Amino acid sequence: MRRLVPYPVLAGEIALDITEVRLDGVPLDYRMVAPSKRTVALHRAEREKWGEARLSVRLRTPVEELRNGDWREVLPQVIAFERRTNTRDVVVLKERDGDSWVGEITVFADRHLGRVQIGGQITATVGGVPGRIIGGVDAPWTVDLQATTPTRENSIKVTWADFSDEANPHLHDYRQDPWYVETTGQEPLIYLNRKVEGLEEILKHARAPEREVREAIASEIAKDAWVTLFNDALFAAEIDEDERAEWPGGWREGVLKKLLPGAFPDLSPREALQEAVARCRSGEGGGDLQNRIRRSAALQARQYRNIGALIRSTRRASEETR
Amino acid sequence: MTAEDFGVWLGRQLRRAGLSQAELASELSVTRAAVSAWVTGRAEPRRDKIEAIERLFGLDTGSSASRTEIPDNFETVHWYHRPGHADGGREYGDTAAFAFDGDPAVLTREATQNSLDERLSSDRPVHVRYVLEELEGEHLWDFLEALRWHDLEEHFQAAIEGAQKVGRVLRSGLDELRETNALTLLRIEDYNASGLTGDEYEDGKFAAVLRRQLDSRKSATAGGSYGLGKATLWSTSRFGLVLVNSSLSEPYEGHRRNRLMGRLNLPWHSVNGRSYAGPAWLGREDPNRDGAARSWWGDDETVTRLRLSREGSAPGTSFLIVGAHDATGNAGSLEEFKRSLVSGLAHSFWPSMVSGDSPGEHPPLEATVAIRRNGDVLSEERVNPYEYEPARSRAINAFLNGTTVTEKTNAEDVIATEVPLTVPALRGDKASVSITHKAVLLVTSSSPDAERPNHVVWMRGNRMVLTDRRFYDVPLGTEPFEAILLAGLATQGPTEETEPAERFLRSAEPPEHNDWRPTDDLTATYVRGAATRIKEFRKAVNDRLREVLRPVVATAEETPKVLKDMLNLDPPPPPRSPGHPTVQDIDGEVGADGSWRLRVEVRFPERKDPWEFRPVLRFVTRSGPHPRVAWADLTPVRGCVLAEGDLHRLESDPGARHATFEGVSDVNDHPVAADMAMVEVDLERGRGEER
Repeated sequence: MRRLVPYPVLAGEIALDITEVRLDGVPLDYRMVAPSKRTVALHRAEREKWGEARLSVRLRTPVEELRNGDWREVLPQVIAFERRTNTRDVVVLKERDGDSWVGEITVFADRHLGRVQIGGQITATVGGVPGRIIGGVDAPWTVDLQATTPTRENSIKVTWADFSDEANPHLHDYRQDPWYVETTGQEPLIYLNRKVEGLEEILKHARAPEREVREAIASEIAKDAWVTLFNDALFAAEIDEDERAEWPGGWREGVLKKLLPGAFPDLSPREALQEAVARCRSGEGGGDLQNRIRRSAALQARQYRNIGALIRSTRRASEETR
Repeated sequence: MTAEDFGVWLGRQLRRAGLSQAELASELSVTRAAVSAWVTGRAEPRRDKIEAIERLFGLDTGSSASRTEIPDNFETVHWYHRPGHADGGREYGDTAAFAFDGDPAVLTREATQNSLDERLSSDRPVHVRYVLEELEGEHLWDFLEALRWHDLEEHFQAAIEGAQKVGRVLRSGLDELRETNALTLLRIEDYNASGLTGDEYEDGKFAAVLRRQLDSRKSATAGGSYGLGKATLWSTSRFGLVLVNSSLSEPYEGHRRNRLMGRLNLPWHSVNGRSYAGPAWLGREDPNRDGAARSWWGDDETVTRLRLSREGSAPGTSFLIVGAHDATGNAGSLEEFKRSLVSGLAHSFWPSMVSGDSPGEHPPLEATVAIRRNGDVLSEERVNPYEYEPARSRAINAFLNGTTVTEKTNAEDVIATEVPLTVPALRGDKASVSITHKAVLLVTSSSPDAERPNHVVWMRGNRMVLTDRRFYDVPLGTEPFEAILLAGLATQGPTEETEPAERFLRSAEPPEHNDWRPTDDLTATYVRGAATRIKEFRKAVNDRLREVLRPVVATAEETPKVLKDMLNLDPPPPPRSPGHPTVQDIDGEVGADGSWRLRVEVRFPERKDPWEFRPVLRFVTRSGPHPRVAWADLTPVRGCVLAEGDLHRLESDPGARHATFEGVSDVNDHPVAADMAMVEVDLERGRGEER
């Protein structure tokens, strides 16, 4: 969304590079850094107990514009922030070669949980007011403390468990279920029941004739998960004193933003949130709301296509054996 | 200096000055026999006579001792047109020139490769300078007069009438010269190169450039300088006209400086009933060859008037392309022409322009491109390889500095790894044995704005680029990279290994020098299995590259692949045609009363009925809900009206796709002062309570 500030800002592009990462002083193999995905994977099997990661960064800025603009005390900065821990660190960078700014920022393992965003911004004194942001990096980098490969993937996590095993008392009530969606933690988690014979094999390595079955089952799991997560997120949305819905933040906000456009295609996301929350509160239109949620979840899970493919392949198979 | 040397010198000066021995004798008041004795080396004149001779020839005192020559008399220089063939055969153009269009990229590649091949001292770079010069008015007339342009006009006219392709270019060139009274020259100078040495007519660099066509002069070290590619010089001229000034590394006729000649390539034509084969030469008349033109030694004035002055005395050659143009039509202005020359130089020769960082190290090549008008320099740019090929130049630089790594830990690190090449024994040579050459593969991250990453450049020799090809077999998840394969001499390894490898790879190159593959030359020169060695080498390079690029192995992933995409939490991309009104643009400022004054443009999805919407102004905060701020006033500007009974709600005109309104914030409702706030505007659907 376009935003307006009451002072001149930079029009040119600002880009941030992470050029080197040192884990407790040891340089990290640069293959753990993926500039094209703006991601750094910090979790290495060989070095689990690291204390701090020092990132060397370079901020590239529009030269002419900065030189000729009406800004004073220009301060390019790198910022590390994590939503879950609500931490925010800022380091001012030093000029190099006229068109870029370099420096180091340290990420401490014990201050963060998962994904630290590394952004860049430039502040300046404008019209006598110091510290105004005159430009920033559009897309921040992600430093993932848990990941072993620098991928930007941001999926709902899935794990396998034996639902009747003694080690999993919390799953005993659901031992008749092939899967269970947990929404209580810092992030959601889908448990798949190992006890369901063939489920693991078919989902992990399906042979050719089973491919359609695998995809249809995956659709079922995904759709169930989305519906459950959406409802959880919807109930978490707060209402302010003016009866206006607020985004719940965290993964819940992500889930809502993902599904609301499919549920209410003719409303803007914020209005769709307002509408869905209002229906929950008023107790009206609940059935319609659930159908809309299911429609949007089915879209994400590609259910329509996968069920069709399953039916076609089953027909073909039964014709061949006839 | 012996008497004999003096005699040879004196004889030559007499011929040049057009004086007889008798005339000299009477000028010096000596006998004719005495002059004859000097010329034949039987005797030497006294000091005072030598000085008198020098004065007579207009030379400085001591010139005879330093063997300085009388400059050729420019008055004797003329255009010699080769007569038509006796058999009536006609050539309507230069075969080689047709093969090379006047494309600046091709011109820079061919001309500069010649300069590199002719590099004289390997302690210093060969410096090439491209000067685009525009001549107007007096400067133009002076140049054309020096060039004896007038003598060419009837030939140009006849050539236009006769030939097709060449005629059109020539006609437009002449028309433009007439209409604009301006002429573009492109001078290509090289310094620290050998210059056009050698005889007027026999084998040598001079004859290769000015007398011959399709002569590739293939030598053992390089692809042969001044081969076919020199035709691009002529095809860059609208008139097919190029002048040459060369400073020689080895004297010819006792001279080094200002060896001048011009060559014009016209198609067959006839003037006043006489037919001409086409080519013509500007030079001094050679009585031994039916008046054909020879090169001449120019004086400084002539060199200046012909725009052929060179800087300093370093050997090398200047080519002056008269009526230079970009035949691709891409360069409309001099500035654009310059840019295409700079980019042509950078893209073909970046490896030759990179050196190591230690003091005293030089790259093999330095290049500059300048623009002048009537002699005044308007701009000059040194071609910087790092600007055009940042990642690859960095890789070569790291290789030369010895700062390559085996494991990359920094974005700019360059990985170097060896790839073995088996050079087989020579066929029919009992003493020859197979050796292993260690080629070097350099890999580094491509620059963030690289247009076409994931390429491998093959190089050998003096970092000559063979190919630059896309590497498709990239492991999944690999970051964009650039790779350079250095083989043969380019590895700078021990010569007993690199020289045989260089020869082997050369024999594996097709005539275009753009690949290594089994060739007839290869199988004829080396023992059985040579073709397989080439294939093995190519495979080894690819395997090694994949190995270097392979991403770090991930630990077992719990989420089944099939579920991953379905469970992706990334925010959906904004829909291209949303089903609801959206803010397209906002503009505005803080007013004198401290209120935000905004102008907002809204876009609607297509429908017949009007859209009702309520603009919402918010002050943006870093986290938490953004506080709403009330409007003091909303004014529809275009495409909408105020909704009935609600001053803060708007209604679009039926069927409108866009609307604009202006809004003023209510200062009393500001949570902070307006000039301390960032604002955004959202739209809510109509109805609903008054705020």
